[in-house]
Amino acid sequence: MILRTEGIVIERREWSEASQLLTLFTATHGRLHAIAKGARRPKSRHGGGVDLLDRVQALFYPRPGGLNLLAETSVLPGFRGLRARLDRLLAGLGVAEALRDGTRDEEPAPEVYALAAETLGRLGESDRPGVELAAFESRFLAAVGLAPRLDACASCGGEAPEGEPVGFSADSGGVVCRACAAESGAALRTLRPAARALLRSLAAGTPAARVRPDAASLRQARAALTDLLRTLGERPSRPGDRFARWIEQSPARG
Amino acid sequence: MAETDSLKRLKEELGKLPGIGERSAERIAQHLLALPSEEALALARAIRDVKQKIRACSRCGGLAEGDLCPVCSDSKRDAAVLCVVEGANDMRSLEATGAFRGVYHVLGGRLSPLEGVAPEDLSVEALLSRVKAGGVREVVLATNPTAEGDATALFLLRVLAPLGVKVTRIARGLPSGGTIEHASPPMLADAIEGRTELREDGASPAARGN
Ligand SMILES: [Zn+2]
Ligand SMILES: [Zn+2]
Repeated sequence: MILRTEGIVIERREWSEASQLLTLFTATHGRLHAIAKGARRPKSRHGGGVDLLDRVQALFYPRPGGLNLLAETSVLPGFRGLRARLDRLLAGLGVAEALRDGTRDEEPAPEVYALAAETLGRLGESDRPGVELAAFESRFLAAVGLAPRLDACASCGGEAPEGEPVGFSADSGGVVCRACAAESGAALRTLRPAARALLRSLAAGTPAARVRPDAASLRQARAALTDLLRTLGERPSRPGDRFARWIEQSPARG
Repeated sequence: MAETDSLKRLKEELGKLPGIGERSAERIAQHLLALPSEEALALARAIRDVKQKIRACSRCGGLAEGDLCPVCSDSKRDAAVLCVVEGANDMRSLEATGAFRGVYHVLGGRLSPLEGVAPEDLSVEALLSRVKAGGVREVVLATNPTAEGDATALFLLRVLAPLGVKVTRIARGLPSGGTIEHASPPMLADAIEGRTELREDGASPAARGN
């Protein structure tokens, strides 16, 4: 049996001489690991190899419990402009990282695929890739059932006062009241009111183009989203967003 | 049956080498067994020397047998043109083209958020120090034409631009998503000769496949 699907390359490793081990996030099969034998030979059925963030059409032989075998991959028209700017490219790789770490193998999630493909398309034209990535992360977390609680304490359900800085705990799953913050003892992240408001509007589905956060609020909101993403998946060692400042700082020119 | 054991071990070790299957490993092992001791041990010594003597060039990070690599110790090379590569393999591939007369800087990898490789994990500080020390007119970014190689080049452009040095990127003739190591020498020679100035205005490097 051979299957056809469309996917985004979210991980790529060299495998023996000329082969590649790819992780695709596909429209029909969710996250999919597959080997492309001889992919890096120019005349292979994989066109000399595919790259991270390529959108590909793939024909593969499923091997339940093993590595799927890619028979053929062709690169589809990609995400124009994504690679022209450092902040766009890093945000695009942030999308790949969330898909890699926060989804399950061969569990179809067509809405997540559509969200990722739309985000990558918009990132290619975005002047504020950091906001676009935050919008993606917010919707992605909602899709996997991890939307943060923002209206009341995620730990006790009590009041988490508005209009003043509030603690945020990814382990509790949202903002926490002062009593719970004190009880947890650990140094919690703090969200200023504007950062909390930003998380709210992103959770409500406001498009990135319609929110205008200041830099500090965006940084706090993204740190909170990154903390939540880090609680996901099999890779608790997620290196953290050491690239945040390169994604969020506005480019020197352009 | 000690000899059988060591022969088996030799075949296993040979079989781990790239491109050597079980049958080739068998043939090479039999060949080595038949050689006079001195000849066979010359191979063992060569392997040991490579592992003991080769280290990173103190200037560029390429492979060196003394303090400096052959390129850095060659006074005829143009030290004003500095070519930045991901790894020593890329430096070797570019050297094989004979098309580049400048010197190198080996980063020791590429930026990879997915694998947790950040700027501080690469020899970026050393690169900036070399440029700040003066005498560098052009920095050629010869990272691979992949998403991560492009990210690395764009990052380096951002930190190099304030130093007032001309920054170029190798031409895009290389197969997209391919690597310098796997490109043919003529293709690589074209890429380095056809390098273009890189600016942070979103116009370059050209996006691929679009
Ligand atoms: Zn509470
Ligand atoms: Zn050197």
